[in-house]
Amino acid sequence: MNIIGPDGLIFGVDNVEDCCKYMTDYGLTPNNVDSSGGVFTGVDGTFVEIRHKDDASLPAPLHTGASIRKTVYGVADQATLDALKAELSKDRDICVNSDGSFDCVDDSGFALAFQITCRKNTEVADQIVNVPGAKANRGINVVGSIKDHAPKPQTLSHVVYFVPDVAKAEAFYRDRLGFRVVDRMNPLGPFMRPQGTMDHHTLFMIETPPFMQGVEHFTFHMLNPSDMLQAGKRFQDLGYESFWGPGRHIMGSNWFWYFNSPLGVHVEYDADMDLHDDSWEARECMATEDNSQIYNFTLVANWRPGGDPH
Amino acid sequence: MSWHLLCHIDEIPLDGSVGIKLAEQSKDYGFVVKKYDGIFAWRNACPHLGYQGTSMAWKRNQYLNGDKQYIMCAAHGARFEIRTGEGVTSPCQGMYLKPIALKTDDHGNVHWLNDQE
Ligand code: FES
Ligand SMILES: [Fe+2]
Repeated sequence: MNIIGPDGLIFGVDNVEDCCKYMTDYGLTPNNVDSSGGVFTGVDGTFVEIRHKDDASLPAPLHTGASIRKTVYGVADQATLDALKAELSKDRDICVNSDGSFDCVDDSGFALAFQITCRKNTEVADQIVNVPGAKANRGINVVGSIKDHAPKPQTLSHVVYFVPDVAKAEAFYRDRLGFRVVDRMNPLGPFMRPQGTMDHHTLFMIETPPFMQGVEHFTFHMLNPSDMLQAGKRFQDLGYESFWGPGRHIMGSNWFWYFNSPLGVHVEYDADMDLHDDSWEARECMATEDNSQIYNFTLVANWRPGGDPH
Repeated sequence: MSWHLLCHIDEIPLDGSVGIKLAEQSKDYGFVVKKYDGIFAWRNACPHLGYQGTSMAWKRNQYLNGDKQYIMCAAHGARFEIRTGEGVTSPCQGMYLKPIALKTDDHGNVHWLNDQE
């Protein structure tokens, strides 16, 4: 199944204005924002949609009342969409929309949609850092640090669910949608990637008691670690509350920085995730502090040593 | 145990929240919420199992949900009663925030008790 990854996430909230402001300050581009909500896009068109929790256009919430209301998957082509429709209609209701996309519910109760991906190809220059001895460097007289740069989230990277039965949840994504298990963090759950991407994970799942079901976090990829740090610094300076990081994970190698949000989920910036193909053998580790990151920093105020020596 | 000055009562917006800071700490120690019938103070430490102690603000001084009727943890969205600190939604239903004692002096200055010192 040529599923590329999540195209979008749709949330139902009771603080629409705060959430719209937050997603804009995070760096996404606001589209059609009014008192009912709006759609916030990364550079490639992947999105977060904010609506009021009572909005009639939303699917029913989870039994926990969590703010996540739909995960929209992007697939490569019509053949994939047709194959998914045939596969999933074997044992569940599917609802085909006028644009050809369809809605259904996964085996844990999360509402899903599948569509031909809305991702646009983005033109990005190769990101090159100056490495001693390397042939390809950034270039002579090309400066790396730009003071007022406001880095843009490029593309929706991954979502992390709290699920009541992780074995059952994994089986659905693996056996029905063709996702691969890339690595496992025990006893939490699997990092999974669909076949249409080499990203280490577009989905991670954490087993919790049923009353906690919901979303832990989602994130967009930033262009590179420096953009990730500069975006997070800018975001924290706007007053937003850091939860974890900046740091660098081990599973996936992605640089991370997580923030609290008015959506009632963590929102992350990430960068530089590992790529894998089917030759990769899944690793396993326990979810300890030392397996959760290589390093973890806390941002402090800008500073300079000493004072004016004149 | 000692009392610390937070601010004047008029500096706390009605139906709003203000963080209680301890010098040299990046996260608030606690927060106060003002309602028409009083002000209420809680430790900034979510009781969510597996996440105990997490900071609950989504932005500086911002601890409430959309209609300002509940404290909202901005990590995973749990709602708490403003007056009792009781968790009323997933993932913290039936769990409690820890209270902070407050007193307001004759000039209207609000003081909070640090019982961790
Ligand atoms: S840490 Fe507060 S709801 Fe999870
Ligand atoms: Fe993540």
